[in-house]
Amino acid sequence: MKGIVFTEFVSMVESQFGEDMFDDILDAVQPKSEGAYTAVGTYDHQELVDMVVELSKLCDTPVPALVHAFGLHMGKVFSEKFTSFFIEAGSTIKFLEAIDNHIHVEVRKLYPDAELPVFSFEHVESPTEHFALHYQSTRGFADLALGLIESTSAYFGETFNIDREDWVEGDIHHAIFRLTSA
Amino acid sequence: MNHASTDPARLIRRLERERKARQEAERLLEDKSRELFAKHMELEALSQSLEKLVAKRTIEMQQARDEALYALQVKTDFIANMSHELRTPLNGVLGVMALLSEQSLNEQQSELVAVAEASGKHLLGVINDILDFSKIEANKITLEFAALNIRPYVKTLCAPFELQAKQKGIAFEVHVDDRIPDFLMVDSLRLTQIISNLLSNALKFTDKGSVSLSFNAFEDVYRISVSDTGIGISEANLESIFAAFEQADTSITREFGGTGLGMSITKQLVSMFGGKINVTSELGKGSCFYVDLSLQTADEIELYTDTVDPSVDNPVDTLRILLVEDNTINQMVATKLLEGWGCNVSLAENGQLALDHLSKDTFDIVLMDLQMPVMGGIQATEFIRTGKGGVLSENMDVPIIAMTAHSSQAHIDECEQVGMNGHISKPIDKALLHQKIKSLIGNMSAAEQSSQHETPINNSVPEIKGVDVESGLARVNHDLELYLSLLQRFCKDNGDFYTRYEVCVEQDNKKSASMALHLIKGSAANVGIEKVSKLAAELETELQTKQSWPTLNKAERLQQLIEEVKHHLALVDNNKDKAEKAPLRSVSDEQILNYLQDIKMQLNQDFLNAEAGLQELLTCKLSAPMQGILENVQQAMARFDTLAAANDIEQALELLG
Repeated sequence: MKGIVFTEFVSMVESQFGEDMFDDILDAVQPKSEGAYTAVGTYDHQELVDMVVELSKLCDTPVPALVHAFGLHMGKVFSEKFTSFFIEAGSTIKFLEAIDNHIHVEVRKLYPDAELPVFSFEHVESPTEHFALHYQSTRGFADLALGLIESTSAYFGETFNIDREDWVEGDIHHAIFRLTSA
Repeated sequence: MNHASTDPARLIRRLERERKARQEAERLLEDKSRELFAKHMELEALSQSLEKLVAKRTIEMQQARDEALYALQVKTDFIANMSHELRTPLNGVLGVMALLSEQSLNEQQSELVAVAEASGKHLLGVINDILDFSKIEANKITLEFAALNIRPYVKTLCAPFELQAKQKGIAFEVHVDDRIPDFLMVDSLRLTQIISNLLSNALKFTDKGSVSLSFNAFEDVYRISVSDTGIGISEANLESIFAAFEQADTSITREFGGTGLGMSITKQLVSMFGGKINVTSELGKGSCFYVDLSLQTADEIELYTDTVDPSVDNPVDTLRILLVEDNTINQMVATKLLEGWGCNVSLAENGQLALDHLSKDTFDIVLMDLQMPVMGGIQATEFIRTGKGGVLSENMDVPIIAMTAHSSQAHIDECEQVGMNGHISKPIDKALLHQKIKSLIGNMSAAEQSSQHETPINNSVPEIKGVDVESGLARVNHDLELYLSLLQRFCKDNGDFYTRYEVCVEQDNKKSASMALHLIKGSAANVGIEKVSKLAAELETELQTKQSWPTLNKAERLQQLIEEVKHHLALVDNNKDKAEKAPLRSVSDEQILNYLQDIKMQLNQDFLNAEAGLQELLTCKLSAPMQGILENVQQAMARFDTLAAANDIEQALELLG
């Protein structure tokens, strides 16, 4: 997983829970990287999972909630670091449509070995008109995805009702987010 | 939110983490840089190899293009040469046929000769078509405009077709609208081709009814329409009518003959005039072809090199003529012709042999072919005029007439530049040659003719600043009075050049400006004002090659030069009037009647005698209408159109009452 996720995690933990919290997590998890994360590096995603789990214990908050909060944080970071994608899209739906076709394509040009989730979509007519975003990944970070979606719609000043459906098939985690304009 | 702890151990650990992260970032950066550099080098190498490849391909393409152009040039040259090779013996055949037809022949023999002539002329037509087509394709034809007297031109043009129509039993109508001015600037050779093609097609495909030619004007667009009541053209065929090698369909070719090139050439010529050609037709009813052209009226009439005064009758016989010609058939034809007129003819096969003749004997006229082995006509003329090659001094100014197969302006200019006095196109038109020879010796009285054998020292050659008087005089056989009047004429005609030019600039009329300059270029050269001629030529070229109008400087300078000549000319004491023409003879009506009847009789017996009689008659004082009719006779005879000539003579007889 790309270093930026880790550095942003550290940043979120330190700002929300203090720098000492991160030391404590490291002491408990003992990650191979020793916690020396740089945004341009690449690290084992399991380290992140382990750190989140440890954080959940230490601050007594369920994992999904933490991941979701992290998703919101990441969304904000993306909108600041990669504003051009947002401006290009112009709206939440257009942005979500662009993730697979455009944004992740650009990412892979720079980082051919990036492991990224798949975000396919569909404009559904019936029974009610809505936009369906289908998340698929070997990592189970659907909550992160939700946080990103919500943060994106906040960026564009749009509001949606979001229904969510999760399941696992083999080693693929699936989640469908159905968005209807509020 | 907890504040950061100040525990040294934690701080040290954070520091360690930061340092480790930074170093890793640096390492990653270095890796990426190296990668980038490698990619960059790859790209450079690829770019260079691509550039080399492009350069290579470009050269290959240029070579292929050059080869194609060369092949095209070879083909064009081949066609031009072949046409020349084909036409030369053919002209020989036609020349001999013409001579034969003037012998006394019985009816059967006459018929055979007529058939042979017709076939020969047809073949010549086909060869000319092929050459024209090829030249047009290779963009080697340029139009040369000259003032044309429209009504006589149309009359002359239609005469043979009128004859043909009569023989076919169909009516032939010609209509030239009143609004059409007398003189238009036209390339008459090409215009003739266009109209002749249309007329001959109309006649070819019409068996009953009529064929008519109309010439109408709408502002400055002129419409020439040829309509007929012939077999017409189907709609399907109308589309392909102007395509090369396609006649309406193959059955037409078989039935009516033709190369299929005529229409295509016509269309291309019309395009060169900047005009349009269209056709309407109904199968079984008839067709109408119409050509729309934008033409300029001609306010000026070009000065000719040879000043002609045909009313003066000077004997052509007893002249000593040097014929310089390498082709044996042409030699024979020309010799017979000239000896028939009573001249003494000496032969030289090339320029060098001509010089040998001219170093031993004196001659009155030299007829000079241009293309000959050993030494050609241009070079020979240069030698003669500069007295080289042992040429006798009396022969240095001998009148030389160029016999040219090519009559492009460039060639004619070249002939003038080396000092030739005139030119005649091959195949040689007898009447025209007769006229040119007479005019060249015609300016001299008998006394001057004998004095021509002495070195021409003219003490009273005036000096006119800016004018090469000697060169101008040489062109008019040292007739000073004539030359001065030509100079005056030039100054008068071109005195308002700048004003006219300014108008052209205002109206953005490059065509008119070009033509005016073209005229000045020619006439200035003729009267020996090289500077003016050269400047006019420069300005003409600039006008034609550049998009925008050149600055007015050159035009101003040109006007200045003309005015200087005018000024210096006025300084010369020239109180004398223009050279008086030799007085016309007064004759009685009865004498005129006799002449006419004599000519009429001779028309079908001895054509040359008829011509001679006509020339004599024209030296008499005649009424204006009679003069006009006789000039038509003259033109008809120039085309060997005895029928038209006979018709005109009838008219003349009727006029006498």
